[in-house]
Amino acid sequence: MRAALTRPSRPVPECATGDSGSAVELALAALEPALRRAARRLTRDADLLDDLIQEARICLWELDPTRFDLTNTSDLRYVCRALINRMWAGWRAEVGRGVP
Amino acid sequence: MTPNSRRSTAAPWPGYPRGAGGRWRRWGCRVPIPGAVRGGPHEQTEENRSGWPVPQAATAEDFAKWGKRLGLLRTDVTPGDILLQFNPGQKAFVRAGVVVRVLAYGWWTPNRPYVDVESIEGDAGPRGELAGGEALRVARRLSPRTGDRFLRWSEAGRGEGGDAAGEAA
Repeated sequence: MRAALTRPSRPVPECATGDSGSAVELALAALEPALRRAARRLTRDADLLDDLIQEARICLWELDPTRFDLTNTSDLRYVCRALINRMWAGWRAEVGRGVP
Repeated sequence: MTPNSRRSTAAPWPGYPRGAGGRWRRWGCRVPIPGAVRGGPHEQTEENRSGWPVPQAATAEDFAKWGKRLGLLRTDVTPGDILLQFNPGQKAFVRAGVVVRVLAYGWWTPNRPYVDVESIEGDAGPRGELAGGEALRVARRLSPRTGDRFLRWSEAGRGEGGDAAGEAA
């Protein structure tokens, strides 16, 4: 009887949570090969190539991939265009400073 | 008190839709109305009916159209607002959720501010992605410069938006 009285009632379900910050890593993993190919067309310099990829990562972080459905062609095209434009801008800035 | 908590047979207002099993439906998932909006103009009336003026919508874009028509879209956030996340690729709002609290404000660049909010959303995934199929509490970063807006529905019924409840019916 006492055991029945002290038995805990149904467990309270925890509120399911999510974090949109981790979506950037997932999107990067999917997009990075294409970004690397695009960056290689701009430069052969390994350091500059890494800098351009880094620019694209920052751009993706600012865009927030959770607002896009990357399986959708038009969304994917928009994101790739934005990231490549950002790499172009980075490349032009570096070339302006005399980096090959 | 929400419409579901009473198991009333009377509709909160004429035309209020019912879902499967006879339970009251709201836009896609049942989401608790944050306490921040209690005591506002949409508190339960003496007739024991909800005065929540937000109409049922199939998509976030429908919310945006309704909010735009009534002048309720804001770039600043208050707990209780409905967040509308913008997709610049599709040039449309793709997600709606209820803002539970504001976590932080910041700037990517001096002219690109953002706000971190905690929200309750339907059809989200554990990473906050679209069409995840779950109702979750999500930490999310939004920026008015990217097109995100906040639907200040609690101001419907004030001033020029005075006919909001009527429109919802």
